[in-house]
Amino acid sequence: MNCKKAAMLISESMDKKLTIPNKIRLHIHTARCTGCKNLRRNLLHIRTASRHLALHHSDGEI
Amino acid sequence: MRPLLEKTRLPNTFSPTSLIPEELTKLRSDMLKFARLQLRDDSAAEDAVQEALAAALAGLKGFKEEAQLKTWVFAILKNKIIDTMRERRKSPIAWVEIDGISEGAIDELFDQNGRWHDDFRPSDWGDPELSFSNRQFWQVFETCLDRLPESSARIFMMREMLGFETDEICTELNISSANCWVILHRARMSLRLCLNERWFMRKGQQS
Repeated sequence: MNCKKAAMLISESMDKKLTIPNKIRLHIHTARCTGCKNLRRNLLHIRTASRHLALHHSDGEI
Repeated sequence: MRPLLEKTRLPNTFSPTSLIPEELTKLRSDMLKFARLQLRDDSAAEDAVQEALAAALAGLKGFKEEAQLKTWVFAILKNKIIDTMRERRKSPIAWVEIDGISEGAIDELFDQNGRWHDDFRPSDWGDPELSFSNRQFWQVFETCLDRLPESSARIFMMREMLGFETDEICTELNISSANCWVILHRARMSLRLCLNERWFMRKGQQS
């Protein structure tokens, strides 16, 4: 698996359960690919930020 | 509305009527900003905020903390925004096309073997909480959201902010799940790139 395909699966895994073979392939890839490991963390960072957005908007001076 | 605003504050409880006018104005403008970001239509945003505030005032509840009140008002606003999006579905939708982020824009992040180009390889962003506590981060976040093409931004926000399931989004917007998912993936990738360039890389240079 290359990073381009891994990126799609990482994104997909945020919306639905991956098939077992895909899950295994992705796991093997991210175990040795720092870029893709970081991509997953970055996307989760963005997800958390999005969910917090309303609250931070209303926080005034943070 | 004015007499309501001038009511005395109850000790240790907060309700929309116990906010002083300045606080209410601030809350309203925060709500508007949030609604505009999602609906991308000033008058629809005004309507949603107006209705949410009216519902909040009608439902008079006391909260121990001001933050709880805001969370509650924003929860009402989110529901109004979802209603507005549902209403839109009933009228012919011209905007649901893949209107912006091309396949090429994603392709160029990778080399011909599908590996990350050095310039685009995702880096460690560190502790999310650190960025969340920085006001400037939220400005950059909004700028990056604004830079997304309209339909990408809507689908992204329905998924990540309003918490719709991907299937629901496809049904709501009447587009194929493959299309819907491609838009979502590209939106995430391009938002990530924007945040990286405008925030995380710059932070690195500063420290």
